[in-house]
Amino acid sequence: MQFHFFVGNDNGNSEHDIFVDGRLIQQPNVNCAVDGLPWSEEQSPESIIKNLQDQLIVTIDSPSARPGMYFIGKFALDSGELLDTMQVGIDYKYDVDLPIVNTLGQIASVAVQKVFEEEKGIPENIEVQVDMATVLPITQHTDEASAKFERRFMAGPHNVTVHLGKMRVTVKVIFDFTKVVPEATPVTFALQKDEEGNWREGDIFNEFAQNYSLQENFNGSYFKDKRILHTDIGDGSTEYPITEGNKLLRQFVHGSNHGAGYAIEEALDEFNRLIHLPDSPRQFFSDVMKNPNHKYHSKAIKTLRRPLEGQAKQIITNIRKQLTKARNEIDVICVYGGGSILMRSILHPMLKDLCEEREIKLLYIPPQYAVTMNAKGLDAFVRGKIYEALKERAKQAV
Amino acid sequence: MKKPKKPGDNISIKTKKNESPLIVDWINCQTNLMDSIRYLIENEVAANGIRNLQNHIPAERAFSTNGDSLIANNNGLIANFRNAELPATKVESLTPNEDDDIDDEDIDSWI
Repeated sequence: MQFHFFVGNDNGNSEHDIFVDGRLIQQPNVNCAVDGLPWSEEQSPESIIKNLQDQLIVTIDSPSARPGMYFIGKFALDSGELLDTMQVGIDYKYDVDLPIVNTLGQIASVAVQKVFEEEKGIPENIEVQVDMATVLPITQHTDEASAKFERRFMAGPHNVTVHLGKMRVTVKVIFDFTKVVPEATPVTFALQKDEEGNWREGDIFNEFAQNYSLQENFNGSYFKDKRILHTDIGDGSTEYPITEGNKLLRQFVHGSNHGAGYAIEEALDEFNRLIHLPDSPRQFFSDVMKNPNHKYHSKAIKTLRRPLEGQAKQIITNIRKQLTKARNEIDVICVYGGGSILMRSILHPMLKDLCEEREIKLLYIPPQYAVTMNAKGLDAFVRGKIYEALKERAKQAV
Repeated sequence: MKKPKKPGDNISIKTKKNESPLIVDWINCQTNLMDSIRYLIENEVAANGIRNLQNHIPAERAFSTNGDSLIANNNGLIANFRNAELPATKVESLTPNEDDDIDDEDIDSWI
């Protein structure tokens, strides 16, 4: 069985958002190396396949990562094993194994599911050719780093065994071409077009179109010649690139090590003190934050407010720097990313004033879309003409 | 703001992935696609004046998804036309127009 997949891959510090063959997978970006399968009895492979991403176990044999068996994503997080994660502000994404292992795992999982859907059976071998676009944080994105990251994928083939109970499926993953671009930059494509390649429309733009009384049938074509200052707020870094239509303006590429993760870490000590626990993990704090009915919810919000304000101020400072550099010649400031959801109540009013002062429009992406903008942009990018042209040039150069 | 088009500006036309065979065959049958579309526009304007067609046409159209059923219902009339004219030429003039406004400069910026 042979496939060709387009992959748009956003390997975040907290979440892995990846489009494989048009399917969006969202998983905690963690894994753990293990010695053996967790199951002692026979499991029916069919029952696993449906939610394969939630119980993903793979054995990796790849030139680019430590060989071995791994639990991936949610299954690793729930396993109680010692986790491998990306350390906020410490790890270099292009150097560690985590993004390689988790990317291979997710691509293989979709290949297995696809065979099962199409053939109603489970093959022993699958081969997948992959065209992939992925990103590095701007603070880590240099020519050498991106080339190294690309090479780690394109070296291969990578052999991935997907475990369905005691059954095994071997998936050979070959990256035909991989392009690594600075984080946030491909989002310009996601603002313009939807998954089908039509101009994007819908409630993602409602607030924006209403605020600026733009025409009723507003759609993504609005952005096709706009200069956009992106503000992609992650856990460990925030990116501020500027794009103009389909063009990346290299001279303005800028990122900083601020984000929601720093604020949470700062808040955690105070939170633990308030709830009389010597220690509680970040995940617990996040769960309490997300659950308004939790008895400690208001305490969590209270402790987070000041650290978030601190991060928001730093982000505003960086945005101002970018505006100065660009002489305020920006049409739209577009804010998204997981961190933008937590910071909205603090950051939105500050940005609104700034934008009015500088005569710039503010597009603060609604929470339900904020997290997947990068993955969507990468999915659009990898299917687009620019990727095709880059691939062609790279092949000619060899 | 959307810039109004001036004479000489590009407009881009892209077919949908699931474009109906009726539309695709018609496109492939034109030796000068842009001029044929211009003629359709002239006819529409002569009949109805200048208006936003989106306010007047249904989103779900009889031919939109399946051109074949329409052809079958017309006693083979359209089908005959189709067969008669289809082999004429494969149109080259389509390519520059469908190009999605991406030029070399855009591509270079991503290297």
